[in-house]
Amino acid sequence: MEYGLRIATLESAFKNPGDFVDSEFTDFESSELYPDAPVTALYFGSEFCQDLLPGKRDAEAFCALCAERKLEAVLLTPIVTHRGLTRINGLLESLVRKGRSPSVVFNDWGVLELLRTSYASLPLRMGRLMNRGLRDPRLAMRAAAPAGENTERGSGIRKLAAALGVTALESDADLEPGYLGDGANGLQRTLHLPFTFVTSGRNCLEKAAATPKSNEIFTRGLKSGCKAPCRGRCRREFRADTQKQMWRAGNTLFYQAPPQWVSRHMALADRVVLHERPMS
Amino acid sequence: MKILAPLRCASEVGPLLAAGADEFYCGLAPPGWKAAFGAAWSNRRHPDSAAVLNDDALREIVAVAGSAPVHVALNSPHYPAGAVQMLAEFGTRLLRDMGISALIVADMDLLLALAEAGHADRLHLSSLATSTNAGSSSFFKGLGISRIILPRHLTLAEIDQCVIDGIDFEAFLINDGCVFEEGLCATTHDAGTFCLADGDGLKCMSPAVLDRYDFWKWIQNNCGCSTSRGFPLGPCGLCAIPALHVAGVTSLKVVGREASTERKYASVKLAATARDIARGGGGAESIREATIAMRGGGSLCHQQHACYYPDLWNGLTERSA
Repeated sequence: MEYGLRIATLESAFKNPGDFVDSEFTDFESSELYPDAPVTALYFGSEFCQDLLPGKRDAEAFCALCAERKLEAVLLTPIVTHRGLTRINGLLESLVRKGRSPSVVFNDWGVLELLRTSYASLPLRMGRLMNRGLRDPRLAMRAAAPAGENTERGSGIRKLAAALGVTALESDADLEPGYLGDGANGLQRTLHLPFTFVTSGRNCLEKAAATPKSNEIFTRGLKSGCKAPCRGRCRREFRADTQKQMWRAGNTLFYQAPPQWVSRHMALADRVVLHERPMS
Repeated sequence: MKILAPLRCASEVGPLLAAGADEFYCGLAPPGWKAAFGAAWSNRRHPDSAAVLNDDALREIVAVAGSAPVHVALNSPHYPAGAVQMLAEFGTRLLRDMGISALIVADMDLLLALAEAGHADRLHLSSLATSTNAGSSSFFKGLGISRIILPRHLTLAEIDQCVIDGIDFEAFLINDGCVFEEGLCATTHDAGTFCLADGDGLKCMSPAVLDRYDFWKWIQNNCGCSTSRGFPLGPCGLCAIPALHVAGVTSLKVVGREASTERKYASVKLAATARDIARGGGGAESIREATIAMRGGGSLCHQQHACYYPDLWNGLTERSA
């Protein structure tokens, strides 16, 4: 077991896993769930919104810090349109030119195509949005089978990933552990904790709230860019139909995975990526 | 451009063909599905309200449809363990023995199993797979998929950038919006529609923004009604047909398998009217005039509240009109 840290700012790179587990965003004494293990990687970027991708200078600073600390730099990328794909290409081109070689988490098959055709030397990690399993916060977790977690789900995508040269498969704590598999494909099984994503989209309330013209929001706002007013913050979310702690971070809703979910999922993980707070 | 119509039973085929449908799609669970997988859905819509009754009913649909292709949706974004094998065998039977033209698939395990069984060229990638750029189009073309159904929340300019040669593209045309990106929504409608209550418990946000959010969600839900003339009143991209044609989209989806035959008929009639105007060289403005005259709901249209493709209005894509 090893840890990765999904940090909100460069300063957080010097924190310990324990600082992430017991924070203002978690409400249970969960340190016993998390064994002592080394931190091997730092994660940055965005999994959910192309407007939140880092600039070239920030990305370079992040990679430099990782090199200095001898940690793997991992760039998270979201589902993208042509504009987002172009932005990722520019970002990677700049990093590679400066001798950086971050691992890249892809959540979009087009990003994978870009990586395979233009950046074949960068380690590829298949992101958690490729796991389309249920994460409905109103539902209970599926019971484990008597023989243990069923790792059949995801077997096709794992086989494809291994054949395409992907090195790791990532997920968060969904309702049915098993997607990460039994490790037979040689993919590193990576689990994002403690925030499970619920739903995401381009019609973003945060973007709408920051838009001065009311006729430029929701669907009509798709054509306009976003200055990422959500960067650096998340909002607590309250719903009548679930007791789970929920947050809205940018265009995505999250909840804190209950401890019993965490322990079942962790049994299948080689790396746990702890998130400093909910982040899109 | 083809109008793709939803249906549930053979009696709907005739009226929908008469209204202008060129091809059909429907949903059907394999025999034994419920016993094996309980409440899990084999496709994106509720089996009780939107699916074809059984194999015999599907055979009848195919027979009545004649030369019009019938596609079957097996497009749940995820399946419980064991389901993919059953669905892959079922899909093979649908294609080989029951006259189905293509399967609409979202789950990658199922898609890969069907491709491995030699059916890639009869697979349509569901919008739930969220293919939103040309690189992704290329990836699925490489797998041999014959059609990509583009997700709802793309602008016309972005659709234009997704389209590549050698594979067909389908786009949403009318009815039933989604608040979030459908393929990235990890909730189930079986537990109630999650998004309709979204924002209700959100603190520290302007009430004015939340009011507009509620209004927009209401439109995505077809305004909870139809017009006094019996036409649906919800998300619509009819006047974008000329632009979609120029972009290279070849099939236009009318949404609503679970709708009444009357609503399906009205929707297809609107779609075909718009398509025929476009075929005759008419542009976006002509289509708007004609469809508002049929449907009503002019203010919703002119204020761009119900647009699937609102960038049509600012001149970005008027080149085709």
